[in-house]
Formats: sequence, structure tokens, C-alpha cells
Amino acid sequence: MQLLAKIKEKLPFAFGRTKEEVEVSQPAVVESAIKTSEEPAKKTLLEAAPTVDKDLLEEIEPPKSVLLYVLKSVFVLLVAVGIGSFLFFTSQLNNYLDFATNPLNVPSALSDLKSTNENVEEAQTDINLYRYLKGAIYLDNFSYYGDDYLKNYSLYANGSATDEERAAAKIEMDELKLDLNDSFKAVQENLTKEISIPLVDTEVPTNDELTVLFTGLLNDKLMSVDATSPDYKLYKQAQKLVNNPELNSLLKGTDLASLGDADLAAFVGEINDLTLDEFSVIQKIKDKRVSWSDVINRIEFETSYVDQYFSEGYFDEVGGVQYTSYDFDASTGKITITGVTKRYNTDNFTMISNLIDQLKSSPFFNNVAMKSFTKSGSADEGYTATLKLDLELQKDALDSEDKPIQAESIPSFLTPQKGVPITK
Amino acid sequence: MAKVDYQLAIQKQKSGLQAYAALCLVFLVIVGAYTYFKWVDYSVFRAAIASNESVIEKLEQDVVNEKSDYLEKKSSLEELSGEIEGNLKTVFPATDNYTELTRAFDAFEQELNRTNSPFVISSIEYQDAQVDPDGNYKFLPLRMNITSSRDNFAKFLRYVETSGSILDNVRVMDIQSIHMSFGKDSGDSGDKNNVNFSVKIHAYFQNI
Repeated sequence: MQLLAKIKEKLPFAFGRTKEEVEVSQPAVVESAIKTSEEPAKKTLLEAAPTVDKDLLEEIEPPKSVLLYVLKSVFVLLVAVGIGSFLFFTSQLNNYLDFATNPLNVPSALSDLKSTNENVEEAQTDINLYRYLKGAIYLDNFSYYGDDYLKNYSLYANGSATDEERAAAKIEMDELKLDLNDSFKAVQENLTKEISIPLVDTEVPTNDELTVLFTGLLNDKLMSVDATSPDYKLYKQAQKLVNNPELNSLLKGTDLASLGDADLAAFVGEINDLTLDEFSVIQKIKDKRVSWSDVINRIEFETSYVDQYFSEGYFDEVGGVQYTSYDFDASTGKITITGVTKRYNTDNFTMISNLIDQLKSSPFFNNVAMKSFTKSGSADEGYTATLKLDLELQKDALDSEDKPIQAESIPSFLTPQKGVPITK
Repeated sequence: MAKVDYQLAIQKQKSGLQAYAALCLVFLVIVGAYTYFKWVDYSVFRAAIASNESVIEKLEQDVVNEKSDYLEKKSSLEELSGEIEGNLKTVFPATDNYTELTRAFDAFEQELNRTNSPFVISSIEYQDAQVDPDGNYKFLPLRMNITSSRDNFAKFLRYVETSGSILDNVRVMDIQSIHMSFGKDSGDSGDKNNVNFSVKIHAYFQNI
């Protein structure tokens, strides 16, 4: 600054000063000399004015601004904070910087979240595992009691069973119902609970995705059991229950206590079909099985409409129908019945025709046929006609019939034909 | 000329100030916004992690409870499970096991056969085992010839028809065909209640 002031003083021109200031600043001696002397020769009293070294002026810079320094510092700080923030959040919210953070044992929040999610999945899968294993055990019990129930029910519903047998079967069924109910509740409790649990992730999974995820994890867990393990079979059984939507909806939508005898029997069969274990295979075999004792009973029942004394030991005296052989073929459903009819009034063929029509009217048989009629005998000994009936079994009708034959259920349009009275 | 440079320098300084001020402002906004929004995300992550940790704690307790419950139930039902397992070996064996089946028929015959109500198996003929077309099981076809009273015939039918019950421990079977003829009133034995029948049976076993 001092340098600048000195320079200003030396300047002949009004650099930074007014004209008056310049004029006033001339010394008095010089003024007097100018006034008193003649026109002086053009001689200068002073030496020539010094020339200004403009190079010096060029080196002059305006004063440094503190504010500028402050702003620069703030800017640098902001950049640093920005970079720091970027690195921090990138390392926490992405996996891009795991290569750097992992060696420092500073896991990202994303890794932490994934890790805790994996722990949640693992714990939930363990819970599911034990639930399904318990469910498999209880389902085995259910099938066990159900198997006994079905056996008793088939006896109870079989028309050929005696009243005592049926009564005993009914008592057994009622006792078994309690066991079935307990086992079923336990199965329901273990197999109908939600298999998945909500997870918080970068992409929120839907319920279906969660179910698929947890089902897969449970399957993997169940498959991981060693074949030599004593629980191997139980694990395999439990695996068949996983992702079994039909079984699941059946378990969820059934109130076992409200089922009647027939419905309960059907329900047990349905459960057995869906569990896909030995019980289900056995159930399939049983479902295909024909109850031949019931078929014989149906034939005899229909015959009793035509011959009132059928099978009561009056054939020789009264006449009627007597069967001598049956042929049953389960694979084709064909039945062949042979026998004789005996009449004292020669209407054997009518009796046989009535029998054919009677069997035709039954929902359990169709294609009843006998195309050849022959008769022999005399009025004294009675007339006998051989009988050879071909018919087919309607297994569906037989299966759907779950009540024993009741005498009261005979349709009113049927008029049993009386046997011919003893004439001898 | 120098005066102009100086003025320019001053002007430049002012411009610098303005530029840095603007940059600082822009950066402050950018960094602030970025940090704010990322912090919100980060907070969500941290909250989720905290929530997961609390869920894990509860689930681990549940695992312990479920496991102990499973072991307890398994142990208490072990006897029944063993019985089921054991009976299944008879009811639905892994092999055709025809010798055991023959012994079972013999035992049934012995149980029913009485002088006034016979049940005599005169022959049993086993055929080759076959596989169910669906592959669910195998079966051993066999044919039996039996002379029996009508009562015992009915009992035999019921024996086969109710076979496959785990509780009864009877091999699961199915009658494929029956040819039966009833005794004549004037037969040698004089017993019209007797039935001679030939029955074809399928005895089932596992398709392993």
C-alpha cells in the first residue's frame, strides 16, 4: 500500500487526484518565478518527469478475498461429505463394495438384511419340519383308526351281516369316532397352519412366492434325511403331505364331528387316497374290490320277490327257485347263475320271466338275459325248468349303496308272487 | 492498461465468489437430498433388520417348543406306530410272501372247520406275481378249491372282503372270480347246506 501511495505522489497526472489538487500542490517559489521573469526560455527547471514503470503496475493484484477461501473450503467439504455419503450408502445398500467392506468385517445393511432373512427362513422351516412330522404321525394314527372304522362300517352296511354283527360293528364305529376325531384335530392343527412368514426384502415377495419359497425349503429339509435314518420313512411320508393342496383344503374344510357314519367312511377313504402312503394304496385296492357277499345277498333279495319261500327249505314241497351255482368275474363284472325252478302249475317260464324282469329293475344289475327256456316234469312231481341267467354287475350302484337292505324299503309297485300252495 | 487488468482481477474475484457460492449451494442441495433419501432407505433396512432379529428370537423359541413336542409325541405314539409298521408288513408286504399267506389260510381253515360245519381247502395254486398297470402295487394271483358249509362260505367271503385291515392283520386280498355250486339234497353227504367253490384271489403286495 505504501508503495502504491509513493507511486501516486510521483505521478504527473491526476491519478487518483482532482485537477485543483494538482494545481494547488505547485510550490509558491515556482509560481513567483513564473510571474516575475520574462517569458523564459523553454528550459525546464526540473528534470524530466520520471516515467512510470508500467510493468510494476501489472504485478499488482487485488487483495485476496477471505470469503472466497471460505467458500472454497465449504465446497471441498461438501464434495468430501458427498463422496463419503455416497460410499457409505453404496456400501450399506448395495453389494458393490462388499469386496472392500467384508475384509473389514463391516457387513452392509443389505447383507445384514439378507442374513437375518435367511435366519428367519431357516427357523420357520424348522418349525414347519416338526409340524409336518407330527402331522404325518397323527395322519398315520388317523389312517389306522380309519382303517378299522371302514372295516366295521362295511360290516355294518353289508346286507348279508347278521343283526348281532351289525350291532357290534356300530359300537366299534362309535368308539373309533372318538379316536378319529382326536387324531384328525391333531392333523388339522399341524398341517393347516401357514407355512410361510412375511419377509422384508428389497423386492417384497407376494404370498404365493413366499409359499413356494417355504415349500421348497421344507422339501429340501425333508429330502436331506439319510436313508439309513430310523426316521427316513416318516420324513418321506411327511414329504408327500407338503404341497398337497387337495389334502390341505380337505383338512381345512371338514368338521369331522358333524359327519354321519357314511360320510365319515367316505371321508376316511378320501383322506387315505390323498396321503399317498401304503394306506392310500390299500385304500385303492379296497375301492376296486367287489363285495361278493353283498352281490349274492342282492340276488337272493331280488329272487325273494319272485319266490316268497326262496331259500327257506320248501322247494320240494312248494316249488320255487333254487340256485345250483354262481359264477362271478370281477374283471368283467359278469355273473352267471344256474339253477332250477319248480312249479306244479306249469308256469315255470313265467316265474323265470318275472325273475329276469325283477333283476333288470334292480339298480345293481343290467343286461340280464336268458334266451333259452326248457321244462320237463309231471303234474304229480311238479314241472322243473332249468335256469341259466347271465347278468352284469353295476358296481357303482353297489358302492353307492351304504345301507343294509331293509324289508320296509321294498317299493310298493312290486307285488311279490306267492308260491304255489301244496297240492299233494 | 494496468488499470483494466486490475479491474478485471477484481471482477474475476467477484465472479469466483459467486461461482463458489452457487456450487456450494448446488452441492449442498444434492448431497443433502441424496443423504436424506438414502438415509430413509438405510433406516428402513435397519428397522427391517431389527424386526427380523426380534422375529428370529421368537421363532427360535418356537422351534425348541415344536421339536420337544414332536419328540414327545413320537415317543408316546411309538408303540402304536410300531404296531402299524409291524402289521403293515403282513397286510401289505414288500414281497409276495406266499408262504405266510398259505399259513394264514391254514389258520383260518383250522378256525372254521368243524364236523357239522366244514371248511376244507382242498387246493391252493399260486401263479406268477404281476404288476398293477398303474404301478401302484403288485399282486399274486391264486386259485383255491374249497368245500364249505354255507355259513363258513359267508365267513370266508367276509374274511377276504374285509382283508387289508391293519388292526386285523390280514393280508389285503380281492376275489376276482367265484365258481360255486351248492350241494344236492340227495347228495352222498346228504348235506344240501354245503358249497363247493373255486375262487380266484389276488393277494396284494408293495411294488418296490
